[in-house]
This record gives sequence, C-alpha cells and structure tokens, in this order.
Amino acid sequence: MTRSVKSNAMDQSKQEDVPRELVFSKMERLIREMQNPETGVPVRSQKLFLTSIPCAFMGYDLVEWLMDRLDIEDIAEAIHIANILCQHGYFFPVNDTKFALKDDSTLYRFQTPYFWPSNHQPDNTDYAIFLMKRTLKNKQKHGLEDYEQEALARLKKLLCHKWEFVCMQAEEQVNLAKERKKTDKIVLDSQEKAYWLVQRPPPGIFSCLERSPIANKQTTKKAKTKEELKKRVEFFKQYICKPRTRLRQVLESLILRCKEYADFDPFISGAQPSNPWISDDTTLWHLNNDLVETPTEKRVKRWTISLEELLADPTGVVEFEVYLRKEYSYENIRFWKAVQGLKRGSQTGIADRVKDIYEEFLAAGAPCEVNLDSKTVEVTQELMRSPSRYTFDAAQEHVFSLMKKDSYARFLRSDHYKNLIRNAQQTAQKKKFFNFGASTRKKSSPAAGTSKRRNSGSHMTNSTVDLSLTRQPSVERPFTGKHSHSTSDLQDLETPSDKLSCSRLSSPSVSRDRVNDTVRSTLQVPRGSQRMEHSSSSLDETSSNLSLAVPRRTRNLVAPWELED
Amino acid sequence: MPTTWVMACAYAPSGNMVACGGLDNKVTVYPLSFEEDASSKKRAIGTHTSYMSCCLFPNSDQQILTGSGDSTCALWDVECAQLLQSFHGHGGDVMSLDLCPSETGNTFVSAGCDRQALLWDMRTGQCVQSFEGHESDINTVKFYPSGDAIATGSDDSTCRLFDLRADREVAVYSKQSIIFGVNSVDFSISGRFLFAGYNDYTVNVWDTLKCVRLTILYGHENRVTCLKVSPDGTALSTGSWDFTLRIWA
Repeated sequence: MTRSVKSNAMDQSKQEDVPRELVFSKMERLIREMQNPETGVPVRSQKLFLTSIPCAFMGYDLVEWLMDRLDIEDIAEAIHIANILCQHGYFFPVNDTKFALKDDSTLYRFQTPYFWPSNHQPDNTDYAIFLMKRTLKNKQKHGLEDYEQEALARLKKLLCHKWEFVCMQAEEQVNLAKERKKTDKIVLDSQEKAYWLVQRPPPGIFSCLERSPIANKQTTKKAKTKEELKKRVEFFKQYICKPRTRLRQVLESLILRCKEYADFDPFISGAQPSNPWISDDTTLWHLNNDLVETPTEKRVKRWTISLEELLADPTGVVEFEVYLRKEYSYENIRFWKAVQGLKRGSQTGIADRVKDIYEEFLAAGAPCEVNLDSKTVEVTQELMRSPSRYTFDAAQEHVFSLMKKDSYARFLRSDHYKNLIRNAQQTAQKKKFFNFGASTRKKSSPAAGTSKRRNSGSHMTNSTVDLSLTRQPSVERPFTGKHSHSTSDLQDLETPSDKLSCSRLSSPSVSRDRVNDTVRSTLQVPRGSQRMEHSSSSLDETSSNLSLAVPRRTRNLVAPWELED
Repeated sequence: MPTTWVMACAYAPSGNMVACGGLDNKVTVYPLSFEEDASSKKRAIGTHTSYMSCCLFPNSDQQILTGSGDSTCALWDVECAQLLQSFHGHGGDVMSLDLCPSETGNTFVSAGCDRQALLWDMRTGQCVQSFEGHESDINTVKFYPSGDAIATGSDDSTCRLFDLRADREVAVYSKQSIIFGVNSVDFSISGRFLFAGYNDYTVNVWDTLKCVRLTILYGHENRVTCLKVSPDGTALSTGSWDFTLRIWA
C-alpha cells in the first residue's frame, strides 16, 4: 500500500525505547505465523448472509490456533491473549468498532504490516488527511462521528498553515482509491479505519499503546578502556574463587523453608479463624496485633523456628524479656535492642549514644555488663574511636549468638514458654466446649484459667456461663474443628467496652446471615482455597487445606443478645 | 506534588510519615497527621540527578533508601536531610529496591535497566554480589522471605530466582504464552508462591519450587504495575493503570 507523501512519518519508530520493541517483535512474530497461508489461521472470503466479506477469519479459528501454537490449556488464556493482540491493532473485527475477540464465528481481518503499531507513528497531519478523505466520500458510509468532527475542527486550527496541503492530499488519495478493485478498496479502507481507531480511540476507551512517562531509559555502555577491562578481569578472577554453597544444598534449604512456613502461610493452610478479607470478620487481626496478652498457638509455635522469628514479633520480645528477667540475663536483650535503636536512629547524637551504650553495657564494671570475649571487645574499642551507627555490630552479633545458644534454647524448654502454649491452647479448647454445649463442670475450668486476665472477674464469668446455657438448644451444626470467633470475643473481653466493640464487629453480618443463607454457601469456600486445593494435590506434603467454612452463625451464638435486638 | 509524575512512595515503619518522589528527582517526606494538611509540612530530603524510581524506609523512620534513574542508589538521613551513603555500580537506571528481611541484616538488593541485580552492604556502600541472566530491563526485585534468595521480574517476560548463597540463578518462571513484561513480583509468607503482575493485565501465580504456573488472575483492564502481599499473608493487593487497586484473597 503506497502513500505518496509519508516520509515524515516513516522512521519515527526508532524513538521507541527498547523494552517495548521487545514485546512488539514478539507479538509481530506471532502475527506473521498466523498469516502463514499453510500453517496459520485460515483467511478467506467469508459469506455473511448475502454479502461476501473478503479476507476475513473467524474468531474461534484464531483461538484454536493460539491454543495449539502456544501450548495453552485454558481457553480463557487464549481469548485473553487474542484480545490484547486485537487491542494493539494487529487485527480487528470487520463489522464492529469495539476491539475485542469473541470465540465464535465473528469475522476479523488482519491489519496490514504498514499499520502495525511499532512500524508507524501517527501524525496529526496524517489523521487530518484521513478525516478529510472521509468527508469527501459517501456521507452515509464514511461519515464522521462526533468526536471525529471535533478532532477535525481542532486539527484545522492546529494545522491551519498547511490546511491546503491537507485538502490536496485528501483529494489525491480519494482519486487514487477510485482506481482500485472493489474488494481491495473495502479491505484497505477497513484497515485504515481500524488503525485510526486504535491510535486515536473514541472518548471513553483507553489506548493500550500508552507509554510510561520515562522517555528514555538510559543504559550506559561501559567504555572498553584498558582500565575497564582490567577491572573486569579482576572481578572475574575473584568471582571464580568466591566460596559458594552447592546448588543441591541451596535448593534443599529452600524446600525446607517452604515446608517449615507452610503452616503460617494463609494461602496454603488457611487463616484461623477466617480470612478477614473474605468473611469480613477481623478477629484474625485482633488476635495478631503487635502486642497481645495471649498470643495464638500458631504464633507461639512460630517462635520456635528461630531466635530471629522471636525477636521479629513484639509480643515475642516482651515474653522473652519477662523470661530473661527471671533468669537474670536481662542485659543481653537490652543491649541488643539498644544497638538496634542506634543503627536505626537519627544521625544526630550518634557519638553520645555510642558513649551511653558503652558505659551502660560494655565498660568494665558497667551496671548491665554484657559478656563479651576479648577479641570482640578489642574490635569494638577500636571502632569506638570513630563512632558510627555500626560501631557495635560485632558486639551485637556476639550477643545474638550467645542468646541463641543459651537463653533462647532454655526459653523454649522453660515453664514460661510451656505456659504460653497451654494458655494459647486453652483459649482454643474453650471454643470447642462452647460449641458442643458441654456440661457446666468443664466450663468452669477454662473460666478459672482465664479469669486471671479478667479485670472484673465475677460478672464476666457469669456472662460466659450464660452464653453456654443459651447455646444448648441450637447446636445442630457439628464443630468443624476450627477456631470460631468466640475466642476473640472472650479473650478481648477485658473490659465491658471491649466486649461491645467486638460484638459490634459481628453485628453487621447478623442481619445479612438471616437473609442470605443460600448465598453464603457459595461464599464459604473462597477462590483462594480452591486454588490451593489444586496446588496441594500437586504437592507431596499433606498441607492441611482447611476450607474456611467458618459460618457466621457461631458468632451469633456467642453474642445471643444480638439476636434479641 | 503539583505537576510531576510520582513514581514511588513508601510508608515509614511507624506509619507517621510517607516518602515519595518521581520525575521531579527529589525525595520528599510528608509527616502524616489528622490535624493538618500533610503537604504543608513536607520536606525535601535529597535530590538525584534523574528521576527517582523507588524508595523505602530501611526498618527505621530516620533513614530512607532510594534508587534513581541516574543509576545510583542512596541512603539518606531524614532529620538532617543528609546523604549518608551512595551506591554506585549499576550501568543503567535503577528500577527497583528491596531490603533484606532479616532483623540482623544490613543489605539490600537493587535491579535496573542494565539487566543486573546487585546486592549492597549498607554500611560500606560496596556491591557484594551481582546477578545476571535477564535478557531485558529488570523492573522489579524482591527478597525471598528468608533473605537467602531474590526474585526478579523483567521486560523479557520472565521471572527468575537467584540464590545468594549459591551466587547464581536457580529458577526461571516463564511460559511461551506469556509475552508481556513483568512489572512487579512478591512472595507469599512461606515463599512457596510467587505472584507476578504483567503488562498483559494479568497476575500470574507461580509455584516457586516447582516452577509451574498455578493460576492466572484476571480482572484488571490495563497493565498491572504494582503488587504486594499483606504482611500477615492473608491477601494480595494489586494496582494498575486502569485506575483501580484490587485486593485478592
């Protein structure tokens, strides 16, 4: 397809930055393969009602070809890719202005390579010529839409200095076109129209050819000077001699880590009691606040993985400190925390803080003297000559490893830790009892266990007893073995106002529950766990794939007064 | 920011400050408060010689780490608005940064248009390790939750996992049917799942260990440019050029 005056538009593709070229060349390779007469998508004159439409192919032919060529199993993926190709303008629907690909016998036509988005940059002049041509032709078939008329008016003002040229070009092209065969004309016209629909989309339709605001991403080519090359040689020499871990060990450790943390990953083992994003119940977040009185069982178990995990959890740090105080090794953790503060603090006053830390923890006869070996002390004192935030790094590492080998190991075996686990488990147990409406005898022991946390003990235990009694008749649904929401309600019931706020959290769903009983069944197994079911079947380990079917009804049982409101 | 594009923003660990920057080359900090308008108290902490592409607070309210189109990274002190350390070594624009997740770590990784990911020591400003393998600009880099490996996503439509101890690439996540570049990656809590946002408007979920794609998340109507898993791992949020933010759970 020849255009007489297009030289100004020709080489603008060179402006494009490299990354986009890569994806365009990939797309274009695919399109070229599609257009191969033998192995590509079958293109021919299609018959639609009484008219014959030249050079078109059907939607499902394309989808089938894509699935074959790209090894796609899921048809949705193929349709999605086809849609993207369409939006970029590589093909277009013959009878529609909306650029989407449907998997049926809708007809599409390929865009000529001249008009491919990477080859040809749109120019205002070209657009003006195109619009003018349409006005010169048959009004019915080629009339301008509103937005196009506005554009034409705008361009007239913009290009007023060469408007004559534009009109001349338009006329010339219209005359040239008259000499073509009818089918050619139809095809070329449709291609040109599609091109401009992509490049100058009607209002309300975004253009997928939008670019990021970074015009040129620079890559400095390293100069091939002698010094540069010498540096590269040095680098490679060091690289070869660097100590490295063997690949197999590395992979094994990655696998081990995934296994270890699978329990703590909500995408694998579900969130207890429920994923707040799905069930609208924020219990999970309350339970896992930074500082809680009773950490959940999972959380306490996570501390056994490593000292780092323990120190990363603020509640863990608090519990560890309580333990260390009892053991009279409190100064280690305090030193560690002080150095963290130094590292992360502001630049001003560093010298003072370094001095303070030294005097409190490291000087001979210091009030909280920390146990350091002589080498570390030497290194630290050397560094103290020029105090910085990293002065105590060596000392901190030493203390950390001390804590790890000694205090941390003992902490995990200690009574304090065992108590934590027991309390965490008890709060889980309590819910079980409540759900089954067990006998009063059992109820009293958990109440006693948690009563130490109650400020106003008596009236709280009264209320817990009440709840269990009212629950008796309504236990039709079996306990699903997961934590229900009652834990949080009871746990956070330290003050009456807390209780109210918790129940208020659950209340919005109460009315919804009664209305949408049938709908809820579809909501109970979120998309997430369905995905995970697919993946867990391909995993070798038995990940506990809990279906998060924690019904809201149990919450009503905990706060029965809600139903009466 | 009145007139220029914002390309990066970050919350301070305490939640009281936000840092952002972009084509204006500056790193600006806004203290957040309910009483006043945040922009009245904003402060410019530092300036690069080109756009700022990414920023984060390295576990502290007092420092900011930034990466810029001038191919350097920089560590700034917030209070004094001083440059504490600068990191030179990239051969192209730095597109993304991530901090080592360990409590005792002092390293961070950056990746850019020179197709390399570099691991830096924050104390000395030296590049400790470098990783090559991508065939085009790297748009995003993220540490594996244990801090032993990094995942990168690039315009060559692949994501790769590099292990720091083995000092090499250990996995490639790619498929014939994926031809658009990756803008953003993140791991789930255990590291088993790698979520990647692509320019073809989808998010692909990869099994990190088996290198297979588990599923595709459709929904966005324009390219997915940023993606993050919530700290407790219960949900994934994505942001896109279709003006929406979506949360997937």
